[in-house]
Amino acid sequence: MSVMNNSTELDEAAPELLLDQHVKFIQALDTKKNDLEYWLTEHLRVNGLYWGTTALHLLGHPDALDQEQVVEYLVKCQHDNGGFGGHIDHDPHLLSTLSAVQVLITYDRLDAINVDKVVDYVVSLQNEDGSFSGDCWGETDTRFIFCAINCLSLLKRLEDSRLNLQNTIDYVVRCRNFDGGFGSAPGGESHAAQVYVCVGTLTILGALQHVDADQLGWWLSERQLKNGGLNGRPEKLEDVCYSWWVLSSLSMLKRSHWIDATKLTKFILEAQDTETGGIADRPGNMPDVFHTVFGIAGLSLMGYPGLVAVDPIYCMPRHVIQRIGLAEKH
Amino acid sequence: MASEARLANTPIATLDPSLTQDVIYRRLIRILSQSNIDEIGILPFLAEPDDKETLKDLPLYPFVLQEQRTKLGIPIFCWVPLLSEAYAILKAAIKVDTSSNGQDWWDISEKYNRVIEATSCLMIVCPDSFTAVNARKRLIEKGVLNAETELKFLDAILTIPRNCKSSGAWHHRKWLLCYMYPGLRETPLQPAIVEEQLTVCHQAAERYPKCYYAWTMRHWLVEELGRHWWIASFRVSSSEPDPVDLIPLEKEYERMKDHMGRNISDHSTQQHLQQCMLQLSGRWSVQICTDDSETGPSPPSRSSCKALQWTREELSQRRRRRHERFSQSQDAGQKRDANRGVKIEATTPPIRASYPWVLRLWETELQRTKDLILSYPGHESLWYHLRFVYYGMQWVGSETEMDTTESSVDWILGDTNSLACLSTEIEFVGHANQSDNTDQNAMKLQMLYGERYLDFIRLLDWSSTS
Repeated sequence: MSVMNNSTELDEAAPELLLDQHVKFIQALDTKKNDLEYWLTEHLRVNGLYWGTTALHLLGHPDALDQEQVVEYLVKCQHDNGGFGGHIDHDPHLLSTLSAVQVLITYDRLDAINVDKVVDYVVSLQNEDGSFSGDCWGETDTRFIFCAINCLSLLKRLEDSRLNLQNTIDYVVRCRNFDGGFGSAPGGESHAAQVYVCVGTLTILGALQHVDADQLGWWLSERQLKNGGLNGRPEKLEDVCYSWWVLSSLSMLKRSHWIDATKLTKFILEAQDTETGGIADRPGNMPDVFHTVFGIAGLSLMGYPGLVAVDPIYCMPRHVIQRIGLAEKH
Repeated sequence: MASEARLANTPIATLDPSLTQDVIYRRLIRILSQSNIDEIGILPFLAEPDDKETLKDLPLYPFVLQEQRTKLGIPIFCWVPLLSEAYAILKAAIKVDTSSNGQDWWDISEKYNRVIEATSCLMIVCPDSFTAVNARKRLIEKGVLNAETELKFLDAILTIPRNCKSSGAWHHRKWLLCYMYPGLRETPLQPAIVEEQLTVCHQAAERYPKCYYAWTMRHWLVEELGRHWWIASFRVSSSEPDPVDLIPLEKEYERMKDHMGRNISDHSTQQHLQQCMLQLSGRWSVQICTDDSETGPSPPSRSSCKALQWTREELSQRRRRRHERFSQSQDAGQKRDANRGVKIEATTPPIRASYPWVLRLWETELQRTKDLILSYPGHESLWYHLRFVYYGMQWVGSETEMDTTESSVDWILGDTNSLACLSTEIEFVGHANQSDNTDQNAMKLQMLYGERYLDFIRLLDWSSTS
């Protein structure tokens, strides 16, 4: 089986995918040390690496960054308690811990770190009610639940006896709203990105029966606007990153055909920066690595030709998820 | 936005070589430690240096202080040097080195003073930096920083609109409140304190609309107020609850109605209003899991209940139970139809949190929402809100466990279907499409959203009756 996509319906008027320029854009990210964005995202450097390496893999250029250098850097971000900081000398957090694990698995280099310690760290953050805190200071959010469950699933450690997964399922179900969507906490506003993390968690835990697929699928498909782009909540602007959150959720619910893929493809391609490479939140804005990866992942999920297939749950190359034996589970 | 980024990326040394990273940082720290800042703004320009503007002999330039030194302006060009310098100082201070002698940084005053300075700066320019905010929590736990002062500092930080969307800053606030008022598990946060915090959230909503984390914090505060309503909804028949504990939530609901009227397309506002309604509905809006749900001195805690779980199947079961009970009472010869619905207007206002009160709350909101849709055609958020209110009407209206000692049982047993059902809503949608509004685009959207609304109801009714 080929790892590449080869079929999708394309709009004749849509711009082409600027594949080589996106590769160069990502390679140049670490040289922008005079930019405000570089400094404002210092605490997300490890997440940035996940976004960058995943985009490069989906673009078919897995060797565009120096693998040894990346692994060496990540090792420096791991703390004694097993968690990873967002950058060297930053406090550990679940967000960066998941990103580090994702990058290391993509490169098949888990051997470089102490996996048992990572598991200890993640497990230690489960709360009595089944939710997970982002770090030892107690902020809870369904995002952190997904980080934890996703991470443990990738490491094949969901069977850890210290976990109470039924409580986690119950908690996620409590975050479900009357419209079928999910929020960051019980009673939180339905939001497409929170939908992705909750549907993803329930998919991994084999508890998708708690989702009203028709009702939620409908809410998700209502996120598509006239210009083809998707928003995350009613009457908000369209944004390329929702191409991923909405589309992957629909894909897990087996309802991707409920949105117009041709129009969405055109919208994402129009948000490319033809001068610098990279993809912005919407056409005409400044590109960044976050919107670049989720734009490319969205295109890949819609079968855009020449891209490596992405896994809709894990947002990693499909062949990597197959290699570690998780593709058959869901 | 692109132009702001271009400005921010302009190296400040190219504008004035005297402004090195170290100089800028030290001047800001001095200002923060010697003035009482309650508002901070970003300046898109570099003001002319003014030698007279000094603070204890140290120039303020490039910063600007106004109104008795309570308003601080920071030129956008300072962001990069401030981040760079503050991070360097913070990391050096918390690093374990030979000068530590086995002590932690928070036990060495020379170190923690540098941490306080660097994190004050980082809190202003990047409150999402976990490491900075965590260090401050640690210092509060150690008694080095004062939690109340920190809360005030957070208020000032929020006056920069983009900081309103920082999840770290909002969690820090919640953490501080939990730290200052331990025992929240047993006793709800005092309404007066909640009201003060709601004001802060409201200002944030005005500065940066639809900010998810600000509204999440606000939900949490409203839940604290809802705890009083929850208890009250179990006690209406025995004793009237103290209105002092109940009124703040009603006030928040009124404030949201007003805010919604001025922000028609803001779904976050409407969703928060929905949370207020659910809290105001007490036990009538949740499915109680525990068996001991009888009226009594200790009602079940909200966390033991499946809160707000409105699946279509559950709704269908409720409707069926309700139908059975209603027909039974009719069989018994209790012909109450004649009085149905009349007493809502006729009697004195029902007791807060009682079932009749809650039912009236939903009916009023249904009418209010429809009025707004007619006045402001083509707004998706309003139609979404109507979906919620319709759904809630069905839920509350299919209650079977209402307190039967309630005197106005006549109309309680009536069928709320007559107030909102498919046929009433088809009629409303038809009416909404016939506005004399000349905005063609708005009317096109109005028709689309109206159709979708009816589809939503059909999906609900279909699964509830099948």
